[in-house]
Amino acid sequence: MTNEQLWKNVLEELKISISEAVYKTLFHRSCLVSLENNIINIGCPSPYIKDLIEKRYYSFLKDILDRQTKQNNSLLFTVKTIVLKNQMETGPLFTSLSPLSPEEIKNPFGRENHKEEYRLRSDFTFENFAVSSSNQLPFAAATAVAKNPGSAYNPLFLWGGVGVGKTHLMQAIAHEILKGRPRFRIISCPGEEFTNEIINAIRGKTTDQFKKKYRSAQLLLLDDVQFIAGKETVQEEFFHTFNAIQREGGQVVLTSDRPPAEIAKLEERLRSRFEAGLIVDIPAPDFELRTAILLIKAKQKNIDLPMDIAQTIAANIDQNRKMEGFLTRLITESQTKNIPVSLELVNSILGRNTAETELNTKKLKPKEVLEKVAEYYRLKPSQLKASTRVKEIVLPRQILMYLLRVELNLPLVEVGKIIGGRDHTTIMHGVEKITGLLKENEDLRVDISGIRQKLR
Amino acid sequence: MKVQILQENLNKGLTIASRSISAKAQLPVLANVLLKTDKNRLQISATNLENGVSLWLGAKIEKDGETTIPARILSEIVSSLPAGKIDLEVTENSLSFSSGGYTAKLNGISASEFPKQPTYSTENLFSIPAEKLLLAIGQVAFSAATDEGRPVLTGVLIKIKGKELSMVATDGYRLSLRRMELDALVKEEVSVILPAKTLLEVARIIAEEKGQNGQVSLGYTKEQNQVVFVFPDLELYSRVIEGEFPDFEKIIPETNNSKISIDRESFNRAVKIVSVFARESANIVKLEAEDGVLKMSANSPQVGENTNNLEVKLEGEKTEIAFNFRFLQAFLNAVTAPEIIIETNGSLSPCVFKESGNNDFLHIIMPVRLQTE
Repeated sequence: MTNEQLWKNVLEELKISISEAVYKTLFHRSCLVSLENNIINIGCPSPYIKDLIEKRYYSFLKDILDRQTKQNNSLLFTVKTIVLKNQMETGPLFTSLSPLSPEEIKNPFGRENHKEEYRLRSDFTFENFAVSSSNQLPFAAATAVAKNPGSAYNPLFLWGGVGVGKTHLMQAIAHEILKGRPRFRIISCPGEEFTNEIINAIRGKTTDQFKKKYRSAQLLLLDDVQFIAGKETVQEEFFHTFNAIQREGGQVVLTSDRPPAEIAKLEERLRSRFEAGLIVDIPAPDFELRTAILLIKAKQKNIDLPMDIAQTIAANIDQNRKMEGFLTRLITESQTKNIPVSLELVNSILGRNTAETELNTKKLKPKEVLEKVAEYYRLKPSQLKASTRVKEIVLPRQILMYLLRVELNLPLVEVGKIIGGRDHTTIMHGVEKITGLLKENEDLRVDISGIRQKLR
Repeated sequence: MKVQILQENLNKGLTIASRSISAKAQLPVLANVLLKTDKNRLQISATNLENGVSLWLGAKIEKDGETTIPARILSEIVSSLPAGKIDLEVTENSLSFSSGGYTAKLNGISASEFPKQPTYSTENLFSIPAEKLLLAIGQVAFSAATDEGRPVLTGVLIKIKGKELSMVATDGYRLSLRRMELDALVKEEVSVILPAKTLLEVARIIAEEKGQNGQVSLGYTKEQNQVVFVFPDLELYSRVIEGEFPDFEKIIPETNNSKISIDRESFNRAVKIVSVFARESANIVKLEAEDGVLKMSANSPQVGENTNNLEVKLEGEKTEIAFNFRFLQAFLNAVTAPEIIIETNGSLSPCVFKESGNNDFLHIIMPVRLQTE
């Protein structure tokens, strides 16, 4: 084990045992300077921190280090800071001999790198895109376009519902191209902004600049193209831009929430042009894909998410963005309360989290849920309320408990009252059983999403 | 601990100490000041783990002791009290407090929790005239970067060689260099980067009379990676920023194509008035010098445009150059000489600003590229 590894292990252990605030203040920038003849030299960033660590954590650190090295060590503390290896930018005064352009002056600090100039999200790459059988086609199309921009499929039209990864795929194309050709002229903008820019250009009499900017692009990424529908001048300008780019061999990638044929008020000549390329839809992710996405997201946040927890979350939340929100919530909760990420924690947040967002959009009445569940299983509401314990009725009843608890955020006692005056522990058991089953049982997932559809 | 102290003294001490406390201290004890009896004085210490301060106040000590008390509450109380005697008494970890008819009891944290003050050896100290240091900090520190993403540039490089001390700061867009002479020879060569914030605090303490007309001692301990500024009755500790300072010497132009001499006040006024129009267009002010006239202009499509002509002395070629006016203003705020000198090598190279008759101070600003329509 190298010193660096050893220290990393020690820090990991510390993270678990002490609060995050203390860890960040004291140990965040500490390092292991040397390990010789059982004397371990620990570097602390300032004399004050050295004193605090020495006073408070000597024996604690020694315990961990002795255990890790399986030796009896003595510790020594010195003041030493880690010098970051990566050279920071020193600014135009030192780096370039050409002076700044006005854009750079506007934001002299925190200079943007290329990717930010193109306004691409750095995590939207092909590597971070989870692929399963359901979205293999759009993925393949996008990679083909990234390999041969302008010639593979032009234009590429991606459509699908919210949070399925349209923008992700689109920006991944740009990232991939920039890897090989950093000087590639890429313009990426949402349809709405394209509209605004045209309006501003017309008002400021700068349409020439606008034309120059867009028509010189080698890759144009237009997000949410449905927004330009019904706006005549914008469509016309886009039509010309589109033609100009294609004529020069440039690539156009578009995304929308529905196929071109279904975008109302889209001009015929534009529609036919969109349809000339490849139109692919990205379907909503299935359970396996959602689990994979969740694991990728967790990895990005440097969280080690166990498989069973990931599955529970993916089974209970059916939208990608919600899932991401849930993950953030989970992490925050576990950090602030200083408890590990566990199934219990997931379950406790699950009830609150989903309910809050759902309720805001539409007020559901418990009675409606009861009726819909009964209807779905072709039962009478009274059967669900009754005390019979026939198998065919028990499962729907537990699903009802789950939905009332998770979707409506009702207290357990309240749920019990609705379902024929049952005890709250019965409800708790029911909800937990469904939460667990969702992970393993595909049929149940289909059923629940079916009922959810009806409720909306 | 039992102490009697004047409100004026205690208030001044707490104000200085509070400035070294981080607004969002992560550990409770770091939001506290240490109160401690030291011989016949009251010692107050505070730290944010990167830098720290200790100061000593005259007081009547009746019984020795020490404790730590939340700084914000304590200084709020003390500053609201009328001038006069305050009685302090520490029992266990709480501080009882009385002045006239006012009494208070504050809960604190044991002094053993408080990080120990770093030590330094008095042998390695060398003194700097306080007045000169104050001036130099004012001319250099503002050029340092403020974003923590480039730690080295948030610092000021202090180099001492023989009897000469030089200070440099840059944020990559401008640079300040100030040289000064020390009274005594320094044996060892020193080259350290200190946080600009620390130096500004030093300047503040000098300005608030501590050490004015006198000397400030500076000590650097390499093993501890820290420096200490020693004033009468006050010590300020700071970490040293590790890393390599950019090679600033190579960007200082040795020659120039044009040299403009200009009256500081009228230039200052011109920058101020022309820049009104520059705010809307990336803060750009254009300077054109030809035949003894400096024409300054700024325009923005929304507001309009303006120009201002100044009589100047021009040596060398006519020239055209543009700057972010905020950089010009920052420079003008830092100089006092009646006349300043601008030396350029054209609109694309770093431009030098100096005080006329002062070769110890140098400021460099990177011009903005002129839009050619």
